[in-house]
Amino acid sequence: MIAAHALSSLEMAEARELESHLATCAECRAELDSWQDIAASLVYAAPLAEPSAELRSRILASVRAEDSAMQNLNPATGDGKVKGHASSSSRTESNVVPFEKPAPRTRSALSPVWAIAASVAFLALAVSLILLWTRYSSMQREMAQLTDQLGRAQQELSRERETLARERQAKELISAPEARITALAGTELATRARAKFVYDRKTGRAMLMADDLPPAPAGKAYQLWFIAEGKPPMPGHVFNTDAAGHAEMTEQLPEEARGATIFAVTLEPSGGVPAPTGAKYLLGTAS
Amino acid sequence: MHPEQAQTSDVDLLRGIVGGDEQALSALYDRYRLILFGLILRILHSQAEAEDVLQEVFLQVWRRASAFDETRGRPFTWLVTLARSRAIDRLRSLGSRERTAQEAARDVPDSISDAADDAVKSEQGEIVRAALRELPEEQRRTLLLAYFEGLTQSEIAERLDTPLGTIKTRMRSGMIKLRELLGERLKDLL
Repeated sequence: MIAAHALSSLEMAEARELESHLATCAECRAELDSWQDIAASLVYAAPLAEPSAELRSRILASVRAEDSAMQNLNPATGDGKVKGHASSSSRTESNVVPFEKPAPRTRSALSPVWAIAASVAFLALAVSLILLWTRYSSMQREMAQLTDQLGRAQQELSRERETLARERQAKELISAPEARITALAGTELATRARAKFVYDRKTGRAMLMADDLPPAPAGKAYQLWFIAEGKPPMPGHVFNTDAAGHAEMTEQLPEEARGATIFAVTLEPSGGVPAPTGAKYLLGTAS
Repeated sequence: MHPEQAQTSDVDLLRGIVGGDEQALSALYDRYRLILFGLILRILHSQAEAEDVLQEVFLQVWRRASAFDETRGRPFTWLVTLARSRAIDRLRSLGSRERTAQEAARDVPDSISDAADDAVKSEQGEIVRAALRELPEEQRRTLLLAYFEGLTQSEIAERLDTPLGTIKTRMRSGMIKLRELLGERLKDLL
């Protein structure tokens, strides 16, 4: 059977069976080797024949073409199986080469993978940056809104506090034992206007609360006057109304004004004047 | 065809080839081209196909010389086995139509060529041909059908219209007889 295998004339199934046995049996492998020598001797049964003269150069050319193709495959090492290095140690070199080859190949094969990984990482970083920047901007906007809201809330709070403080003052003022309240009515220049003037005859603390008095034009302001019988009007503070026509003003009445019985509001230059020059807008007499 | 003592041995040539020495490949080609081309041509019966296969064989020698294990066999056996194997592969790939045509054109299968030119006639060839002539005809025919036509035992049985068991016996007997006849001279042949 082994002799027949040396002539490769066994059926495929038999040959396969024998091959698997040969893989584990050194004795039978040695027997096959010796039968192969006998089989090879049959070559002498064929007549010798001369191939074309150019076949040798064709073979050498194809060998060189393959070598340069190999070198192109491995330009980093330029190894080309180290062919072209005829030397006594060449067999060893050749055996070593296949193990050396993978190193540069692996690196060069890996580099696209690294490039892809780097690209992916870069892309991820860029996307993260964009997301972070977007988030940062929106947070900045939100913060500005909050700051704005806070500022408005603080303004409102301080206004409320002022209002509260004035109301407390007004309450204290009104509840004072010697408090006097005088109502002022609008003149023909501001028929709907009205105001209340409260003052404490003892301390001189006073307060004016006006409503529906049109805001003073540019460069002008309202000024309060105290008029005692037989005396020239005494100047009080200047004030202005808000867009709704409302005004609240605190005042400290001088000693000599505390006996005044008439209170008037005129339109004057915004800095105020020592004696009235403008038209009367509000007028009231202490009861 | 056999290397002279003064010549570089086949093993050294193969080592040179492993090391990339084209001169070594060239020397191996010069040493065996006639016998290998004769073998391939005997199998394929076509000059062009045979040259193509011979080129393939030497390219494979160049690539695979490092796979040759000198502890397991002789370079000559390796080369001949490789050449026969490639030629029979080609014969099969050429397809049955061409193969039939070739068979029709070929000599009777058991013919032993002694028609080699005087210029290339070799002593080794004479030894083997003499041994083959001593074999019983049916044994010789069986061995040559297997060797040059790549037929399996059952294909030979069919071709010769002979029971398979008989073919197996003839093949085994023929191989043993050939080994006896070549005997001590075998080492000079390979």
